[in-house]
Amino acid sequence: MTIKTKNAKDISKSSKISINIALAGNPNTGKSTLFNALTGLKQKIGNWPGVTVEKKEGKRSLHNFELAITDLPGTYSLSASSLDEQIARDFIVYNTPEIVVQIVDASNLERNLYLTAMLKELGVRVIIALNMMDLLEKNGSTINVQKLSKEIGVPIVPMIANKKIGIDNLENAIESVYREDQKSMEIIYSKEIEETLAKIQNMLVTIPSIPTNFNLRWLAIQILQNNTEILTLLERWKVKDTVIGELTSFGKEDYEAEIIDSKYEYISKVTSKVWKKGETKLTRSDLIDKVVTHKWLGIPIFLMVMWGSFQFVFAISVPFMELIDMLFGWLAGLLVNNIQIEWLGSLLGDGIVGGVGSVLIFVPPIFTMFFILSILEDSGYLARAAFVMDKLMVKFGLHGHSFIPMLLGFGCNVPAIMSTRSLKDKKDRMITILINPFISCGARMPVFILFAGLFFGASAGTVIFALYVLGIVVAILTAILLRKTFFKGKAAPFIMELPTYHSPKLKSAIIAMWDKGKMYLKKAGTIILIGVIFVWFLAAMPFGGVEYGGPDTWLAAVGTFFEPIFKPLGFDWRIVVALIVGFIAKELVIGSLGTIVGGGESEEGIKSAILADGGFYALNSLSLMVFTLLYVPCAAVIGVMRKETGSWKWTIFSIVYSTVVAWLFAFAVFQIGSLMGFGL
Amino acid sequence: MNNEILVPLGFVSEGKKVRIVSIIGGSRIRNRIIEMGLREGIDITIIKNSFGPVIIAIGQTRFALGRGISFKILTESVN
Repeated sequence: MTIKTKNAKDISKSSKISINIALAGNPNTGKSTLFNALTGLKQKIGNWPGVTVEKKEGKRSLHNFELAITDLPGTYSLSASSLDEQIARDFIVYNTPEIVVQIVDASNLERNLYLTAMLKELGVRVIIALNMMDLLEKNGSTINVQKLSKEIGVPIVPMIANKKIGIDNLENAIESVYREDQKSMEIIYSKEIEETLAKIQNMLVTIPSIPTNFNLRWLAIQILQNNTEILTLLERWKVKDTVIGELTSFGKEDYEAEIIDSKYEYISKVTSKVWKKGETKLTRSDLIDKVVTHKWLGIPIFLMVMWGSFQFVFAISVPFMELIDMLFGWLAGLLVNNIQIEWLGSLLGDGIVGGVGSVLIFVPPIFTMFFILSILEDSGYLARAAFVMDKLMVKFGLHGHSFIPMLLGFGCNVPAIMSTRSLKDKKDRMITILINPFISCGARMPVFILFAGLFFGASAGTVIFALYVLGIVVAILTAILLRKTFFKGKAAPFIMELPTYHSPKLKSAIIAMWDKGKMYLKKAGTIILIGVIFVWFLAAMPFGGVEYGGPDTWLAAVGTFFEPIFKPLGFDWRIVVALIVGFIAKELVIGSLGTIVGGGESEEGIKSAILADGGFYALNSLSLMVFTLLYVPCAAVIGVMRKETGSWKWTIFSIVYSTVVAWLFAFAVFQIGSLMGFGL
Repeated sequence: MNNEILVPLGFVSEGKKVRIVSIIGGSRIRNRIIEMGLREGIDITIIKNSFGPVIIAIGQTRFALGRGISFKILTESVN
């Protein structure tokens, strides 16, 4: 016996017991803050779609345990009416965390407890982290925490997450809850509902493919609520047809409203005993909102903020860009001149250093862009931007919520498309995804800067601005078109929580900038590196005698093959090659042009080579910019689009549609320009 | 039922405190709104109602409601 105990102890010392914990909660309750406090990983605080788009996981050691914590998307409910809710619900159903810690905003107790009721109905053990206790008193509100805990049968830990107060009590609660079972929260529905639930449960029990430990009451409630998402679950168990068949014999109606109401009734009854509501007072945030969302001031303020952001991005990044350009130009020259084996020197210098350098040069503006977006989001302004744009968006068959992914698209279309997950309506979401590629992302900027700078002199800024506007206009026209054809119907109603303003934290902005920016760095190190080597290879083949990037290379053969299609846009085979490679990533457009026209290690080198070349002039560079703006942003966008629409059909539609639109607009620009005498 | 006239939220003037009496429209939309905490019987304060969406306060939370939906929420005044 003694030996056995000793052994057991040894084991527990060496390998800790893992507890799987999910962190749930409404938006704006400080969930990310608590997650950071628990795991030490940093994220953002805020409420635009996308704050927890990626699944965030972290670990924390606690005595003999290792807590594996998953941050679920912020949701009001688990009815799976948006993708975020579905992600949260599915995690609890399929990953069966041992404990769900629900963070609750103490000032909004009643509404937050609705989610608690849903969690308890799922049959998981819940701990409530009652956050922002310090604000209660300010609002003249009180909560009898002990009594509340007793009433709902859930341990409650009062805390102030942003000051890290209450974390150790939460740890204690996790340990003790882990060791015990938790009572379920008994919400009794009307007699009719309860009888039907019993019938459904009796039927479910007889189906062998449903796991025995599955919470049948919960499943029955979902079925009764006519939850369409639950059908996929039934399908997984191959019992969909049986269940649906049986249900019709019960004369099932839609009980969802009644079920929701019953939950609230239960919650109101509980809270009336333990909670004294605070008064609603006008806050500083409300006063700011009166100005920021003002009838006449709202849009000018929004435009000023945007303009200021762009100015900031350029002011900060230009010196860094020049520095990187110099560095890579020097390095490439060094390699080409000093490596004895000529082809190797060319590969390393022209190909890799030149190509990757021409991409890395855009790290500064892209990082600053993400920095600014994080500041806007953190401060709470982004939600107001959606507010201000709502009226305009409604005209295009969308609403304010869809505007935020558009705004994020200026940084990068990939996270922007992912951020559509919080849109409730499927059609709204599809339209918002499909128009996003037209919003000009940071990677397209380099092409604009280079060509507008070369051929449009003092009006370069205006040309770039016009391109951004063109992208927005095409996005809007596409939205209208899609709404009138494939996604008929009205936009879902616009309801959005407006988070309280707070001063953005420099540290979290820097972390957000790094988190998102490193995706770009990764791209430079992988896909773009491969692309650049590939272009170099084609430009150097066939070996022996051909001029690098010259008209006798394989690269030229590919370009010449497609040239007839692009001739009416003013493109010769070299631009065609650059655009084809640009399907992988827009950064490659300049990288490959640099390779082809030569002199292309540094930006200055590319510039003078293009000017000396003679094949580039104002009009065809304008149509090149228009084409670059409108066709498929990059391979990563194609991937994320496939994932988020769940359909190859729509992904292919988007690729074909945007390429055709790009061709048509570039065609129009070139032909009209030529007629007006702007041709060569 | 009292004699008071029900006023759509979109017509309530700024600064007023009202009680939600009913939410009209499809059950799907209604259920989603209710799950966010906007439900019959609760009191709300209109923070802003002049242009674009309406801003309302429920306790310490602020919501922006599109004009369309704001006319589907019927309210009565609270004394």
